[in-house]
Amino acid sequence: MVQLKQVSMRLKSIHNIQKITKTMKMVSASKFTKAERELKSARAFGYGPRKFYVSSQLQKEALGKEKEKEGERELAQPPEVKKEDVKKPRIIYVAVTSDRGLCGGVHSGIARMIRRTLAERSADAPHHKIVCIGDKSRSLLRLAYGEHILVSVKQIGRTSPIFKDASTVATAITQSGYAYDTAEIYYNQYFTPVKYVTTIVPAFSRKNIELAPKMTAFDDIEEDQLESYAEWTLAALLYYALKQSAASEQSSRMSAMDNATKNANEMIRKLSLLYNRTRQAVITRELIEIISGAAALK
Amino acid sequence: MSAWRQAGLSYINYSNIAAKVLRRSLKPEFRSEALKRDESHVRITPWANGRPARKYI
Amino acid sequence: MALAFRNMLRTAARRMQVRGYADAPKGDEMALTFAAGNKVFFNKQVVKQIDVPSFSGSFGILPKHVPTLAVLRPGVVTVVENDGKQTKIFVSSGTITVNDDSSVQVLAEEAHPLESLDRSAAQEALSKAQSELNSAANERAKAEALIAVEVAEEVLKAASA
Repeated sequence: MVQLKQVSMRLKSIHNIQKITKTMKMVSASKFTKAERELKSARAFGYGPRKFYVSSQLQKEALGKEKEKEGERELAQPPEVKKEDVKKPRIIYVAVTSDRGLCGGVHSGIARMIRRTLAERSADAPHHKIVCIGDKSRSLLRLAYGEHILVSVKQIGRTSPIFKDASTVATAITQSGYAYDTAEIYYNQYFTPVKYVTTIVPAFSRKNIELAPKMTAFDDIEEDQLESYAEWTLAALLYYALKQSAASEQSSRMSAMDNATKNANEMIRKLSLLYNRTRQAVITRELIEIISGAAALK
Repeated sequence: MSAWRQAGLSYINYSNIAAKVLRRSLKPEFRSEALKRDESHVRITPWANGRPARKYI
Repeated sequence: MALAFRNMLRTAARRMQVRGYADAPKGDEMALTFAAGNKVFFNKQVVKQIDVPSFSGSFGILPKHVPTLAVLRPGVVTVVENDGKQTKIFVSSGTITVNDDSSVQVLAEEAHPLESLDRSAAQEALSKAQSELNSAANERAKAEALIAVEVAEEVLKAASA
């Protein structure tokens, strides 16, 4: 027989949990609206560099087809990096997550994808470096790939990301002294409030841009200026990825918390039923005792 | 080579300074909103041999 | 609460439907994307001419310009739209890309229309930068102050014009 007291305590605690998840949902809903609005102005920062990578054929992706559709959705498939022209590419993997959890599979999706890529390319392992943006990716990757971590970044996700955040990270990557060929940025591309896709966007170093197949079609550019271009483009792409990731995270947290609230509701319903039944059973038993006691006295 | 690059600055540093000055030169009604984009709160930790090394920035 | 949530989904979905660009670039038209950390000024809009300040000098871009890359110098970007309307925007720094399909992307860290600039504030920023330059202890600090002076002078010039 379930103790009445236990059931009522459990019921109370679930009521409290539901209150918390409900509040978290409302908070992330308002943060999400802001993130989505700001994402609109950040889209160009992803579009510009990618457009150039395609037109210089650093990336093979045909952007022409997407152009008409670009309004509703951007590149659905992560663009493949051209592998042939660099034998042992020095790649920096940038994992864009945040410090906060409770948002579904947003962060673990990023970590999983990086782990899979690293396992596939394990032959070039010594050339791989990881940059962890957000505590979550750091704790998810440090056990298996701690040796490869170059820089980790915290205090992400408290406020909405600004360009300065991206440029701080880009500066840290540049200052780390690791001469990379390509930086692959892993982030969650936001589509709709219920859909995000883990996506890779590459950022190329100056050397790689110089070697681009169609670079000859471009006007001559001083080395110094190209270096600046590559540096700034890394910051721009990071900014874009941070914004996308923020929107995906908030939308995902919103639905995660919505589900949690619904689950709590369901539990409350079941527990109240159990509580009422148990209470009724206790009353009935007491009545039987009284009645049968009275009958015995007759 | 430009003077700032010789002094060890990158174009990102250049850009940050330029943006900062521009924000300060705005009309007062736009300035306070723009100054919010001035400071970054992210903390960077460099790693070495599988563990966090000293802290900077 | 659930209703509000659903409403949000709906408005978001609707917003996605109406987006889309009426003026998709074709032929020798020049589509300009001009965005900054604070605002998007042009989104794949077809324009007539763009003048940009860069480290290899200021240059004008007309349709069918040879593909090029450049980094922006602080200064005024002038955009002439198809109807002849001129827009002048002060950019701090960033990149400019001209692609082989004549599309142009200007990305800036911070950009504001000329009428948002304040002459006296720029003057103040300039004198602050100059005093920093005088008190700079090392090469790095000196280089930083020099950049600030350069930008403040440009802003002042643009705001006075």
